[in-house]
Amino acid sequence: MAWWRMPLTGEPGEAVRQVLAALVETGKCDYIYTPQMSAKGPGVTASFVAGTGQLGTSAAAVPAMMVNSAQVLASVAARSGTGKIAAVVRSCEVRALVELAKLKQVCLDNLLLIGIDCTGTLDPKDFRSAVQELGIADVRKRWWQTISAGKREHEGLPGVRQACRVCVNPEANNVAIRLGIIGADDDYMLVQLPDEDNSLAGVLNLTAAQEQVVSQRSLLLDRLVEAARQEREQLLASGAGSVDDLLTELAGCIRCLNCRRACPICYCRECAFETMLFEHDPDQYQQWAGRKGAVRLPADTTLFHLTRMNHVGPSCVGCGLCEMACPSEIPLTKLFIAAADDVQQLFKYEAGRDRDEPLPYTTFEEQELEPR
Amino acid sequence: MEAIAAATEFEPRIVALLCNWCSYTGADLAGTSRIQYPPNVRIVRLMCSGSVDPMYIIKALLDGADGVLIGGCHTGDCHYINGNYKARRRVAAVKKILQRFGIDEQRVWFRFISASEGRLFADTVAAMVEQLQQLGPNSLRNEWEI
Repeated sequence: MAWWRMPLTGEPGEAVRQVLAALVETGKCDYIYTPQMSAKGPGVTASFVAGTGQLGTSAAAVPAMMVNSAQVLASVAARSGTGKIAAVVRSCEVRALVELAKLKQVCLDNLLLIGIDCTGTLDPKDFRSAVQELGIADVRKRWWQTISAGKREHEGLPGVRQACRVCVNPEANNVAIRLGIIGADDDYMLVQLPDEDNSLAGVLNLTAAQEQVVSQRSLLLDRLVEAARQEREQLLASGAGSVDDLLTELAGCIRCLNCRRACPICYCRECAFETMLFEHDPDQYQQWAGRKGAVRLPADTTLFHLTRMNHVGPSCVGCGLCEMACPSEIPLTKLFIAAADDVQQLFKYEAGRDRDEPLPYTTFEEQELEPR
Repeated sequence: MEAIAAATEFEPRIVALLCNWCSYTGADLAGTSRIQYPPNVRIVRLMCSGSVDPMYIIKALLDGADGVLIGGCHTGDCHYINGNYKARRRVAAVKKILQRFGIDEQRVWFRFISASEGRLFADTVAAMVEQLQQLGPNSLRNEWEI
């Protein structure tokens, strides 16, 4: 795959829109999925667009992620036989998509994946207040400068989410086309096209990217990843190490199960924790209260989190939407990334790395994991 | 055969999740053969060790059980072909996660016990009781804000 240079005449979001429109016009796709700037207010709307119908300015390089795209793409591309859909996705979203494909929740055949660089997104509250204070145009401009310089922080903007700070995958993999912002500048963006079909370069009047631009991008990526790796190690070391620590972290949990709803990997239509299984009989509460002296209500809070860690652990991509969705601001990123790391390292697996790698729980070796 | 633990030591409570075809039958054989083994174990019969959801193991420990024993068929002998292989992976994963959050992974044992291995079952329970006595009681047994 070769890198091309796309000059920016106006807003970067406009350039992304042009790329997407070109894909429709050259017949490479029938539909487009992309975050767009909301026409209603200072927000970002994940949009599924027919042709170029309501294709507005892309919000692809805006530091906001309202939903993990994998979750909504799983509905839109649930089966084969739909039209071809070009989808703009960041790294954690495409990794989650790969995992969902393995879990048979999405059909990747009709998705033309367009990976976009991401060095982080803001908590929705922070994003809203930044937009209210600075205006959306300014937020976008500052963030473009930040990503293109290969950075995660801008002194004029709030800090990105914890999950983003420890993300070692700023560049999306397993995609057909890449939109390169890291290593770009105010007057150009980078576009990576497959060698077998780079006709889009002609359509969009792209020029081949210079070698030094491409190496600069690699350098910035390496630095970013290294810094994130160190911070990730620190985060994992600081996590709950004892049962008391864990109970302290989960003390604020109100059992809303919003983390489950926000998580792209939690795909169960009927989660065990939302069934009658956990609607305990009054006698049961009385028995438990009698045995331990009291029972915390609603019950099974720690059980819920530890079970979810085991169920999604092998496929957790560390997007951090669980923490973003939590009304009690529980540091779920820290807890889940730790559990996910444990499981994935145990099976030498990395969620979303390779489409053909089987899920750890669905395969086995004749001899392994001894002694038990 | 080790002597049953003295009455002054704490008596660990073990929840055993045994597969119907091999380990449960093996435990039954221990009984019919009148093999003496510690009475600390409560047995739950499942059709296959592969049907053990990590949730069951976690629940037992959060409720205060001192140990959880999962018994499955030997590799290659699973009645459902490969349930025991999957169980081996799942139990290994749950042990890692429990250990990270401060619940000693040695409280969870996964053993292959066939239908004819009554004595092995009895010895496994005895060994587990001894180890749990060394590890001490599960502190979560008194933890209600959980």
